[in-house]
Amino acid sequence: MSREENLIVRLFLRLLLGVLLFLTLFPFIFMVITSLKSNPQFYRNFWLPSLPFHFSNYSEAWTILQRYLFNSFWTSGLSLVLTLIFSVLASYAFAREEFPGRRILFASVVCLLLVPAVVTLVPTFVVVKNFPYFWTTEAEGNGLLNTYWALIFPYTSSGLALGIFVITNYMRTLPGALFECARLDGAGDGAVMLHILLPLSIPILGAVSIIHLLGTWNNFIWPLICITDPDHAVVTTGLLLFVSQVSAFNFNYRYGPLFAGYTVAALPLLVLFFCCTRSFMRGMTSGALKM
Amino acid sequence: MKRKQSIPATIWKKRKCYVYLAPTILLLLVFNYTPAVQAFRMSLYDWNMGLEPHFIGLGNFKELWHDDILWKSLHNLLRLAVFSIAVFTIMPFCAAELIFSLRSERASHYCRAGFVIPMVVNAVVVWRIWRYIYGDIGPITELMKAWGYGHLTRGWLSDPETALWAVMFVGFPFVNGFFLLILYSGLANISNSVLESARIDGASGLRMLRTMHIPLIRPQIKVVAVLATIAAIQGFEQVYILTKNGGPGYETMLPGLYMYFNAFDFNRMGYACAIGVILFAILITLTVLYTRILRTETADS
Amino acid sequence: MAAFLWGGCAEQNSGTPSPQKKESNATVLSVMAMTYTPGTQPLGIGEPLKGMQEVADAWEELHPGVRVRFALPPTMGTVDSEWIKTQLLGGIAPDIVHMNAEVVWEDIDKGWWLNLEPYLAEPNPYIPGNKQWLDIFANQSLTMAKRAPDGNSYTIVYDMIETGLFINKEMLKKYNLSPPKTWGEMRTINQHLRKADVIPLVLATEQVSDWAVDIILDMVYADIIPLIDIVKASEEQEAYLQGYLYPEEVCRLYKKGWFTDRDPRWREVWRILLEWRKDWQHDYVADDRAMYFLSKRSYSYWDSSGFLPRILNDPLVDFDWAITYLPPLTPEDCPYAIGAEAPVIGGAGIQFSVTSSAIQNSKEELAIDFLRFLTTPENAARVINEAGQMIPNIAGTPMQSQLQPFSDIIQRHYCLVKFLFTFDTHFQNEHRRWVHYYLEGGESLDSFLDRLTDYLGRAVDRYAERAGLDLSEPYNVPSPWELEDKQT
Repeated sequence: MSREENLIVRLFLRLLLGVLLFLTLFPFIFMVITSLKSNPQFYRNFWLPSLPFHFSNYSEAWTILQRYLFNSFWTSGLSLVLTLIFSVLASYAFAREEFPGRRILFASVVCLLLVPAVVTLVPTFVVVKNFPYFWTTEAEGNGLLNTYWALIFPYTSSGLALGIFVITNYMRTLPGALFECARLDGAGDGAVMLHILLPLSIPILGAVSIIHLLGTWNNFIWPLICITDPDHAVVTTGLLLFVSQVSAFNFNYRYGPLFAGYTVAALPLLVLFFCCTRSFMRGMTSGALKM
Repeated sequence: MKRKQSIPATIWKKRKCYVYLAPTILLLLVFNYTPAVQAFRMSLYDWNMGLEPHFIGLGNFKELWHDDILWKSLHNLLRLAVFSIAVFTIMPFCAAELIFSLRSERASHYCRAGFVIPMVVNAVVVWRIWRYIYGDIGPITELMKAWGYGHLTRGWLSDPETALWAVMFVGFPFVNGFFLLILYSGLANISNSVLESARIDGASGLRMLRTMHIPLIRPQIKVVAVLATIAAIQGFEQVYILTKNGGPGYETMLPGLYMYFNAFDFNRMGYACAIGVILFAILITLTVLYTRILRTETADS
Repeated sequence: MAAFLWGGCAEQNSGTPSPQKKESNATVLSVMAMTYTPGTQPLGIGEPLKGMQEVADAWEELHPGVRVRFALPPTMGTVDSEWIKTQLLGGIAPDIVHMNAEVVWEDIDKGWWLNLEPYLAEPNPYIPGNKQWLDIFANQSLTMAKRAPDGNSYTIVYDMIETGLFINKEMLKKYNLSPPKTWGEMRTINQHLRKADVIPLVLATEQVSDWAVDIILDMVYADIIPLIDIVKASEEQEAYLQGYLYPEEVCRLYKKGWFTDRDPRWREVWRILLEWRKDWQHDYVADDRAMYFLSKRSYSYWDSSGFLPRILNDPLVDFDWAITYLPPLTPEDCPYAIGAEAPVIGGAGIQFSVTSSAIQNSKEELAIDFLRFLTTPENAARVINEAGQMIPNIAGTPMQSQLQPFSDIIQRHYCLVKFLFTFDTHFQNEHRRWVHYYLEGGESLDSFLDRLTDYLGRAVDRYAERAGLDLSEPYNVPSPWELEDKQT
């Protein structure tokens, strides 16, 4: 192959990559563009940005959404922390210890990945509703409904299956000698986890965090049915305030603030992504996802 | 480890393992197993939510066997799943290869970031874009009119002939950032010396792809295929927000959606649970198949 | 464990009140007020609403220790059924919710909704001289038409909403067309506009099997309404609903062959609808259809009075527009039509119900009291007229003048039957789906009619079973073919 041909092929491949990247990025670009538009601007031109920019959409979105953002932050964040702690503990047992029932317990955790979520929607709702909840008088008879725990516990338990699956596989790839050495030095399980396992596991924990937050942060149906109290509502349900019903089937959208809201809601995830992409990649290569 | 010990004694000796597992087991028992078992149990009942359930044995399953809608939806699912497993494996792979071929590490990093960013976008945003694309003043219709094919334009999402295709093409170009990273990290992990020696042997371009890349990142490809399968079989939200009811007729109906309608619109929770059990069975079978294929292949190599 | 949890749930469902615990601080009355939710901006126009909040504040002053809290409305429209069903099942539904009466009727056998009949018969203490609460609802017949099949009211109709055809008058001028007087003329105009690359009419998918079918059906059956409508209701109801077919009547008529593939009028309804389909936007499942009209890509737009504040205030509207209604079908358009004017298909707007969640927490009296307070003429004016989308259904509450065109439309006769809402959600789901399939060219008229006859039959049987009807009883209405014979 001649040099010129080679160059042309390479240019073509770059171009192809550019097109793929643009198309994939497009929803994001569109979201930001639309968040700066007024309704008339949106109707006149669907695709392109138009002047003047309406930055006030953001202040409006922020005013309405801030408390919901806080709630989302708190529920998703706490459930993430719990998921990570519990999965590391469980994975440690699964990966590094031999005990009766290990295989069956592991299998019974992993097979949960396959239960379709819709089927268990109502049964899970019933469980949450009847949960014995002793610390408040307000929720009398309603179990966890209308409390943050109605979101935190199910999010955590749904994250555990994948978390344990991935982290256990990862830990199995770590050299056993490492642990033996530490043990010989007299380190307890706690010290091993904290000083050896944790630093080594940062990549995989980053990966689990991303997957977990993508699932919980944008969840819509579950908060919708578990939280009627606006004080506990999360950002996905709060966004509905920018949509109003005209008649049974006609809705009125306020695109600017709505998309500003989507953008604001996406920011925390974006920050997380930028922090975690590298470690996420390392986590993915580590063999954690072998089946 | 092989020392014979009575089981209770071993359990006692290993009690800390159970302590580590306790929070997980507790949470999973309450929030996953109870509902899952409940769903399995209710598949044997005739249950109008809010009224007393009636036990009917395998009645729901017998009815499902003769339910044309279920078969139609399984048929749609098959078409959709085959298509989406293919494109959601191939397209991220192509993107990963293209990024991998970049010489500059910085460019490669920004590219990966660029593909990952859109994952934070709420599905509703994507949905709105595609609704517009398929609409009366969307680019497809406008282009066809401009080229003189105006008489062939239609409601792409609402015409029985095109609806399922329209649903399938939402998400174009199908480069899922998550899958891309998995595949890319596989490529990045191939040791340079292996690639170098292949290059010295004169392998280049497509041959390199076929003989080196694909076999070496096979595990990652498998993972992506399995994840894409699970997503395709469990997911129905896309159809739900695009065509609202799996219409026209049942042209875009999926088992998950059919389950949903039975649960909430038809007041047939038991029947819905039975559909869920069938979906679960399909997923289990597929996963077992996948792992079998994977095992035999690793054994071969 | 499962059994234990299940047992707990079943107990809740049977309506056993949960043990009352001392209220630590304030009792909370939660309200899902839909369009009127304080702090929301209807249609994104004007100041955030506060009328309902003011009314709630005033009411709280009369009831120390009680707070009113507004729940987020589950808008999106698509998730209504699962939202309300899980909320009621979980006992966390707001105490007062807006829900269409037809949705409420589905679940009255589950004890999910409070029967308002006894309360409606008592005076409303907030209105001096009121003998019974029921009297203050302006449109008595409409109010009573929202009684459930068991004869009781589970909802109160707070306001009325009516549909109208918004048209772009400038397009008529531009293409030198005059407003249509008959159905045929309307079709001709629409086809003209279509050739000029204008979308003649945009409407919602869902309203096709609802509004569109009901209007055409009424006009096609106009000549024989006295023959087929033989079950009469109370006098007040008949004043509004003269010639309305109740679900029971539809079931019995079906068994006589009406609304089946053997009913030639029924065939006409679906033929006309398919013809009319040519005038609509191609994208049958289009979303945000107002966009087409406001950005001048369509000539007409079918929506309710709720759209009025938007078109009055939207900066995009720099054109001349008008609110019209559909023209009558004439004998030229359909052999059975007699040129009768198109009927009213709208009616109740926001409808409030008291949920079992309120009953379980013994808050039903409070909820009723709040609703009574809400329905005084002054308070209704504060709430309804602030939004400016609906016609108040409270006697003594003035209507906003901009709603006059809709108020005129509502004076027409009510349609023969709200066909879609005659049966359960199962039927609605199937019907919408197959109407869509048929209108999009999925099947021929014959095959559609076969299918419709089949699933309508199943819906009829389900209704008969639930209502305890014996459909084999003789019914004194001729079948369609007997009528044909008589006429020829």
